Amino acid sequence: MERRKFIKNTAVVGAGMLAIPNLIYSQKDIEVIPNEKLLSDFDDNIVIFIELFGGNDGLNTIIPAEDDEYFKLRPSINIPPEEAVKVNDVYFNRGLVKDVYNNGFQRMFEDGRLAVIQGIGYDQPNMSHFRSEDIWQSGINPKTNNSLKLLEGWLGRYFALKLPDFPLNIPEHPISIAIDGTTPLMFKSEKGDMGIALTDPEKFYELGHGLTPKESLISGNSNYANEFNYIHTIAKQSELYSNAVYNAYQVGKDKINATIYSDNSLSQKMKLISSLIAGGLKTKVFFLRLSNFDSHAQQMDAAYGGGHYALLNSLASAVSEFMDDALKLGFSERITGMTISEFGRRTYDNGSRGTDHGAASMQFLFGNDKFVNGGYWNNRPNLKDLDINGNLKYQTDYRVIYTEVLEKRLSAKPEDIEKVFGESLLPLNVLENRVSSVESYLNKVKDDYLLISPNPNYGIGTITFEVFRASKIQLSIYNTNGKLKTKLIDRFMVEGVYTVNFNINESGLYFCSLSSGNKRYVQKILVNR
Amino acid sequence: MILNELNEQLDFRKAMHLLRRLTFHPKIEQVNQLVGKTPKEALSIILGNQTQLPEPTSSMKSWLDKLEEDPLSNLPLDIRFEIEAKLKQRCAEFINWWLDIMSEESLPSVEKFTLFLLSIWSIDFTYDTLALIPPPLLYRNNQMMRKNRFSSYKQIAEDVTMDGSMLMFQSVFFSSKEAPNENYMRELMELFTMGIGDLETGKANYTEGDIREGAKALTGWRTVAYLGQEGAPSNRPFETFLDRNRHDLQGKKIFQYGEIAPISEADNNENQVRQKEVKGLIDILFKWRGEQIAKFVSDKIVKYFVYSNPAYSDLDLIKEMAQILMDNNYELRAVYEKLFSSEYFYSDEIIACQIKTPTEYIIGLERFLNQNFDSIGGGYTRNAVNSLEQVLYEPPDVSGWTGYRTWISTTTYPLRIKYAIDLLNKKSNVELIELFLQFNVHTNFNELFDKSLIYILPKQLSQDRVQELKTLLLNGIDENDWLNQLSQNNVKCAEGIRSYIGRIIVSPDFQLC
Repeated sequence: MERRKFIKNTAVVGAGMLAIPNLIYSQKDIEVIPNEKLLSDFDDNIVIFIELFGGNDGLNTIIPAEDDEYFKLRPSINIPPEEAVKVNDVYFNRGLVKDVYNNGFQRMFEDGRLAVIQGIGYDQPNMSHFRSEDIWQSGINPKTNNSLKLLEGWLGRYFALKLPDFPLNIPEHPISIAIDGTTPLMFKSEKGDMGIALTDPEKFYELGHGLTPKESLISGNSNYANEFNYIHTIAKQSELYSNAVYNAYQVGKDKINATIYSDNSLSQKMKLISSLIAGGLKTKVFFLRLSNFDSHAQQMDAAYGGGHYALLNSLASAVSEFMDDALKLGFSERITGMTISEFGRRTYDNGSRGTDHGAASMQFLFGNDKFVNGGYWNNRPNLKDLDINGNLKYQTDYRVIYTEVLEKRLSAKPEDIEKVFGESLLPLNVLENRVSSVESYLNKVKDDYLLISPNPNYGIGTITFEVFRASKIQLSIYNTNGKLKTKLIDRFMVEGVYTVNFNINESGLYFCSLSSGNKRYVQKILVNR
Repeated sequence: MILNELNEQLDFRKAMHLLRRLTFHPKIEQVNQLVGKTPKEALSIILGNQTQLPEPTSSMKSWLDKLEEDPLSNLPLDIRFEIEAKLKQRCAEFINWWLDIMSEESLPSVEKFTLFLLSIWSIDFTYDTLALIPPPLLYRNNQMMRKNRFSSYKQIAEDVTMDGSMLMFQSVFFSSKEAPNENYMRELMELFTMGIGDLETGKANYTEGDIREGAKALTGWRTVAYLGQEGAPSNRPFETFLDRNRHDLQGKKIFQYGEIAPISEADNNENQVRQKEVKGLIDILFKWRGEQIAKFVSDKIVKYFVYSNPAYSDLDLIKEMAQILMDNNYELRAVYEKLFSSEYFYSDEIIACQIKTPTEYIIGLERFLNQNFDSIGGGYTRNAVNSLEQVLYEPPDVSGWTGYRTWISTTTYPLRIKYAIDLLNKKSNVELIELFLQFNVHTNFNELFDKSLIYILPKQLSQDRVQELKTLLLNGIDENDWLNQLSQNNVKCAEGIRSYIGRIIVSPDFQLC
């Protein structure tokens, strides 16, 4: 039966998001890419994602305790100022601080190691857990076709870009690890899972022996060959990675400060991550999941405790303990962590001491104070300007934070961002670069790399910059939500000073971004029309 | 036309393919039963006309009609824990019962089709962090799915909507005219019948307004789930009933045209409301979205029985199957008969491309090795299926199991191998020899060897693999002498069989069917 190709390749999105995990296998066996090679490609950063599954209630996490509207919307589950912990002028849920190691998020916030980013979301929010979680993990533009199946994650797509011969050539150590039963959508790519899942390194090791198949890979592109080779890859990885994980764990478990960690399961998972890092595992990304945030009922009890409080308590404990351990072990500078959650919750309560599915919400980002610009990011949630479903409107596209992590921690170039998300996005600058770019292609004109004149302006002006060495240049203007407004230049340019005109027809604040290689310079443009 | 009928007699290999997909791995005698038949004839045997439902065990009978108090109704903690422990134990007993039926089933094949329905219409025993669905309701759900395995999808939709475990799982149990709960209505459309958008065009199938209106039509339905439950009729344990005071009498408007007329006080009773509003609602869904539903269901059938790759999709095939459904009042049997007797189903691109689900894999091992995991320890079959991440009646969420490649990870693959080896090690030498005697080939070694390979692996192997496996099986015995040695229970034969199977277990294609 030759007449049909059974695989659908819907060209709805760019970035090959529906591409099928099919590969033509031309070599007989899988090869290993040594760690040194990967380190030179990615340097030594480590990113940790903690998914708060079920939809975290952002308004009862960082509380708008001075906003009357909040109390009107939530007669039964509001948290008054005296029941929250005030740090500078930000009200934290007590669960993030009380009985938490080192005063938890209060201390981290004061130290500048914790950023609170408000108003993260996307257009036309979807109220289905599944669709919404998939959107967050896949990193697509959610305005795409509803029947489009989301089969890949943004991180999977990025690693697939960086490991072009995967899974024929696989990294010596797992590129990412989910401390969980299964690998999340975020790790998935057209080439297979860009990472593994495990919960217990000793058991993982015990079961991994002798699993490398003796059979060769099967050539061709039949469904059978594809599935055979997929299983082959997993089998091989099982043995290779079970050894790598076990060896690191054996070295690391005695190095870490085990007594810091509390008993809750998230802390224990962070402890495992610490052991693996301390033992020399070169994994770039760790993923953890804390479930039960779907609080339709009984989210808070009369004493301001209850389910949501306990979950936040676990979160803050695990993060604070781990970061202190990391500091003592000397790898805290390598760590960047962030929370993600598929949506926030409805602004108003639902009468059963709970809240329904909402939209835009806040996320935490944490790390070492040298490289994380801790503090409060974006505007306070505006409870008087809600969407038709009574949800908060978003200020920053959720993928802006991913862009931040990709560019500043995982060596992505601005042009990679477009390939991963199907559109260009601008990072917020919550993170500082750790390693400065080796090569420079741009020179300062007067005092800056980007000269915008006049500024502020009426929407018309010029941008001047100097190319110091011939290279591919991108010059773009972005909205404050991080999404692209116009692309002015995207081409190869020779040395010289260039002046480009811009024309913006709406008042407001914009960001102009000039990039070459993995260097990016950003300037504000203020338009008053 | 894609589904042209395959007009030839099934050989051993084709019969195996058909049975791999429609059972949890066949016994040899079941394959032999089909060899020489046309696919049509084979299907009438596989699908059968069995109406009798399996009997519960006597231990299950002791609790199937027994109501317990609601554990969450302000009982003293020790009593609550006692009831909960009882419910969990009963749920495990019920799952063991089901797995046993799968493991021991002969033809016709019933359970694979039952599990298909459950994989769409998910039910979760621990349906939120605290509450448990009483196991007698799970049992009733299971028998209802079994009874409906070949029914009209319309009938299935109506029966599941009124199913006690679904009422509880999807909060219809708490839905009233004052506060209609939208949970079930959303999932009924999104996950169970039509999907968010049309499979072909992506056009939205329904609006938030349709969800709200449909939810009103389903207000007031309850099930007798607990002892001393307020408002529950007596002598009807685990039956669905209408709390008429909580039912919304107003008219409902679903899609642009589908109307449910306001219902009078006189008609506000179980029969009339079920007829006019529940059946009425399902009728509207099928009337206005019949084609979308038929396509959605066809796609589910392809994923479950043919190839589970979510990106695998052939609109021509889906449309052809959908048309068969629509022409036959959405009866699943009609489309099964057509699909599984088609040339397409036996084509090279379909053979051996399916990753075994945990249930297929574990039950399949038991059936292939003729050895139950429970011989290793009580409840071991269930634990094995669970640890491979398919907990029956406890899917990860209401959308069911993701399936396909998520079944095989660096966590579950090593466990799969371990289970197979554990079970193989449980077999004595004599039992292994018996296993091979079943093949009933007394003429020559090569014929038996070939047959055993077709029986164990889904696809023909390359010559070097065949050679390696043959050497392992022969274990130093001469080809011409092997059958003779087998009949004399030679230990070397048994050892050969053991290393032969052991070698196959760690081959990637052992995970495929």
